[in-house]
Amino acid sequence: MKQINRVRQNRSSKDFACSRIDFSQPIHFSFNGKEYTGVLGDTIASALLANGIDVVGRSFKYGRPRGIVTAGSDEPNAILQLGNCEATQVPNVRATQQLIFEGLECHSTSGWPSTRFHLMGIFGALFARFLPPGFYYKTFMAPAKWWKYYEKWIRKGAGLGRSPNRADEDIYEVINQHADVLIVGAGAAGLSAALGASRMGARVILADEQNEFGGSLLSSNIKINDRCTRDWIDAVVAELINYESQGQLLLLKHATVNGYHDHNFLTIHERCTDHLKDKAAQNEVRQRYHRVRAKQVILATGALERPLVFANNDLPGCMLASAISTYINRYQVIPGNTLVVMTANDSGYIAAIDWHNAGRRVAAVVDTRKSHASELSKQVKALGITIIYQSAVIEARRKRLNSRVCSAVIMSMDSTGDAVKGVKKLFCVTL
Amino acid sequence: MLHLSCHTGGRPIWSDALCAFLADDFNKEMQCVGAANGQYALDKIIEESVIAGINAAKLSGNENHDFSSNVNKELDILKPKVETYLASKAQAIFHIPHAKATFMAPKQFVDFQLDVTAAGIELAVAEGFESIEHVKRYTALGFGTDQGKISNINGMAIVAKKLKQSIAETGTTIFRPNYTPVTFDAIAGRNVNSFFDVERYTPLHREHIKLGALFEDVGQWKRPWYYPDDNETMNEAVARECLAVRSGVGLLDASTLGKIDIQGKDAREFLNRVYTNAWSKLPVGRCRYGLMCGEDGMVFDDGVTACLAENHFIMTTTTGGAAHVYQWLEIWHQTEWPELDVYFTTVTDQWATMTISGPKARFLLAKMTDIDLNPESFKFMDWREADVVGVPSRIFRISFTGEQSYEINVPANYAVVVWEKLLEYGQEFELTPYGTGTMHVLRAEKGFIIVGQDTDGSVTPADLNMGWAVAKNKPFSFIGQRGMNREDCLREDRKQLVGLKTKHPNQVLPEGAQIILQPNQPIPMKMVGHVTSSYFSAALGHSIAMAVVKNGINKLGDSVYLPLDNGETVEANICSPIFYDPEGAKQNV
Amino acid sequence: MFLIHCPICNEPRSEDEFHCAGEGHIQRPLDPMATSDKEWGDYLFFRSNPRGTYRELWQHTIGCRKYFYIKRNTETYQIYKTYKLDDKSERVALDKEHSNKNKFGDLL
Repeated sequence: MKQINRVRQNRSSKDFACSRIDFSQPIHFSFNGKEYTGVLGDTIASALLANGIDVVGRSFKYGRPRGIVTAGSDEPNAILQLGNCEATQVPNVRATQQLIFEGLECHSTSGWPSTRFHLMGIFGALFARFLPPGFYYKTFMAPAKWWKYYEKWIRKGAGLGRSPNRADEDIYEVINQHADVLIVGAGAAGLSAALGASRMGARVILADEQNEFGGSLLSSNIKINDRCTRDWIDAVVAELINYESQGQLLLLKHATVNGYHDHNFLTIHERCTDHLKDKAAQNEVRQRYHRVRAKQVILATGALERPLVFANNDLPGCMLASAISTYINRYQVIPGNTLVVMTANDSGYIAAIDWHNAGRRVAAVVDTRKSHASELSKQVKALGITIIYQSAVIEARRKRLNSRVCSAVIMSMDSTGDAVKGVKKLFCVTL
Repeated sequence: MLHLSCHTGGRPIWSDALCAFLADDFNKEMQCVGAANGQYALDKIIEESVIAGINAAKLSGNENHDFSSNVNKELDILKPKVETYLASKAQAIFHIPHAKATFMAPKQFVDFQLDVTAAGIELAVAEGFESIEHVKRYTALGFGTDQGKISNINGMAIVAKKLKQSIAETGTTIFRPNYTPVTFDAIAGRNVNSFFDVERYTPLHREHIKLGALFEDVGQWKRPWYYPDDNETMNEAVARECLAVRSGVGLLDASTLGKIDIQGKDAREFLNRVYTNAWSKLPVGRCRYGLMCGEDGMVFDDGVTACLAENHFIMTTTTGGAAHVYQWLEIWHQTEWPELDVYFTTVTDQWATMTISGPKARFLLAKMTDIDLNPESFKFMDWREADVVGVPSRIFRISFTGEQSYEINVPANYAVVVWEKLLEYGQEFELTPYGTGTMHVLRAEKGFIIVGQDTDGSVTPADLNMGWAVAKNKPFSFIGQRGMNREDCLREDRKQLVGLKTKHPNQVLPEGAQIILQPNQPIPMKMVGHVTSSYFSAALGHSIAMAVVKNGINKLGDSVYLPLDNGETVEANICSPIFYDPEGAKQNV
Repeated sequence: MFLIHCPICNEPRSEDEFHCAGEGHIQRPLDPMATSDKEWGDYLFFRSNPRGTYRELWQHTIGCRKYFYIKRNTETYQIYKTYKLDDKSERVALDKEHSNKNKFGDLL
């Protein structure tokens, strides 16, 4: 399949100055048994979006088709099962965090018998009205002896992956570490803090869950010292590596700080080879678990965008604005043709600008706030994009049961944001 | 993103200005910077983060370093020029209303992973769930593997609105480790396969393997269970080993028993306080069996202690209880009786113990050592220092089988030499190695208890009919004395240790079988006790069992019934638990 | 996992080197046989289990094997202090706590 949503421009192009992918190195992988091609630097999510894949799984209870929503560890839908053989099966991997490597095999974890035809989907569509919260507590409890019959089908119909049934042959390590300062997250804040602490002579550990340092700067078009963010990141990291070579600093990529326990005891889960291959080589460590006792901890974990709750907001094609910017700027992937942005703050405008600059159409920016003239809104207007103030997308619509979003129903809101009136319909492919 | 700051008990605080949660000051050694601290302007982020980094370095003991010693001040990368936008204020909106009422409108999803909708949350609130923690559990909001990273705040906002209160009042549910899923492999690290649980071997482990022993797990120890000949079943092997001990001589590796070396001029007084029986008059060269109780008066360990010298004793403990007993001695010495001059050292691993047991034991030992083995001078419960095939040893004449029995203790490094010589000299007497399987049968034939099998932490010495092991006139109130004199411990109808003989001599009762007095009762039946140990005795030709039965000591000769799980009810007679050689003649010769 | 300063080794060590032996400063009656069943039961079975400040007896099991006290907060898990069994200053502080408790009853 062709990467229909990929913009084939190289890094030197002005609009993709902060792209982190390498077109010269195509990578083949399979998703649900089908072969796809991505490029070096892609996550599974960006590669699937590039290939125009909308549906990556089925929802847990109603079996609704679901697509990729985010570009990071907050992803709720794109939860995959990885592994080329029984011993290397890993459930619960977020497509937005797993890099592709040659020969990677992954499957949707929800969506038996298949993501396209789904038992729960039909069940969910027919009986959705009768699936209130607490449904499983209420309905399947009685008669109790039937549970053993229900359970098998419910578990099979739902579920988020399975455990391997062969022993894992790879090597895993647990390491005890001590640090003056542990810094969680290596975005602009974490990098700055690490350099600040290192210059003061502290023993520092800097851990970040991504494959590269830089955090949100990796997907931002903002200019630092009139140059793209990559140059600033590279300069800071270069100085940090200098401290690392002196044994004063430990830099950990692919390393998620997972637990903050009593008396500044933190655990870091470092995935050493998971982004490179299915199975580690002999005598090579696949994952490390660092048990860190730190004197001081700095959380530079950034912020998550909060989605807005509206009708059918789960249709494939509805994404977070920040994720859209990330896919465009970092992976050169535009996940759709026409965009409608709904926002309650200024950050939605950035996604609209990025989308427009990538060469595809922005139908409108729908701002729930009253008319205002922020710098970003001026820029958006200058690009000829319509802004609809004090309005909201109240519902997303689709054409067929399994298709992605195709239009947005927009209504204006009263000043309290509690009621809506008037209907406007806009066609879009990504929201 | 405040996941981590919650793990140890911090609670996020809602900021209306930022429409976001910020960390509280629960973690004193933690700071948030950047967007996690509500700062979104890049230049400000860098500035505040550098300061935070410097402060953290200072607070962790690096206050004397010069920050800018090797930094180019003109071109410092930490003072960059950044383009900024003046942002307009965000609106606190979470749930977009639909033209239809929420429950009639198409689904408005809050938690994508677990399909929690706005209508579902509103319904939960309508049904009376007001605490955010209850709403979470009822609707499964934030229950998924993403822990509600993008959904929790929206859910709280909907609850808050429905309850007409602020988000701050509604509060938040707590994030717990882990932030993202972690593989079990990573947590286990290298502690898999043979490193999963440590195995302890006696110095004779390889010798047992050579003899084809099968092993039993006792705590972390691997103990020989039985030594089958070709094609022998366990029952056959145990019967053969039992008969060999009763008629000839057997050899047991008893090295796993805990051994604690006790020294000091108050060692004897200390023993008086931790054991139930009296130690004041135990002369050098003698051994004594002791029972150890908790302050509640319940038996928790037993073993033989030998007086090596006036101020020097060696205590043996059960295999599984060794570490606990050692700790027990320490805590009493350190917290209650620091004035006592006494020192403890664990020497379990320093000594190997080989027990030879049976009517021919003395003949075998006589081949190995020159010391005087005459039973008039080396009596039952004596111990002697000896040279055994050239190895300096301590020989304890104590018996867990009821036979003439010598426990040869040698420094662990010499164990193999002595073992090999025992097998060599033993050929003439058909010396038979035996394991824990046989040891259990032999001791049960004699009614010797195993702490932890025949006791369960609710059994006093009196319940075991071992009042003889409790001193009445010790000046110091020993541990357990007050406890075993509580009203409840003096009841007549406490469960007491007795023997059981089944009506059918070949029937071996299952351990744990419940005991009733009347066979034809409706369920639930009135249970009066249970079987603690049960074997077939090859030496006696019938099955034997030990059991605890309410008021059993006064019921000798009575019939009891045991309804088994196959529907069968078995009749048995209560008897003394000492089935074999009740006079103790054989161990004394 | 706690980071515990062993007052005997005079070093902070990880919790898994230690063993908790329950509430501290429990005094064994000098003449147990003279106690009533209630007094004995109180000594043997009943513990204060407070929310807040708590003094516990711990042993540095994989270390010096000495027992010592930890004064810590059961809610926040903060350790205020670790001290040796014979620390006189803490005895004084403890007596004060007890007398205040008697004076004000449940108010404290």
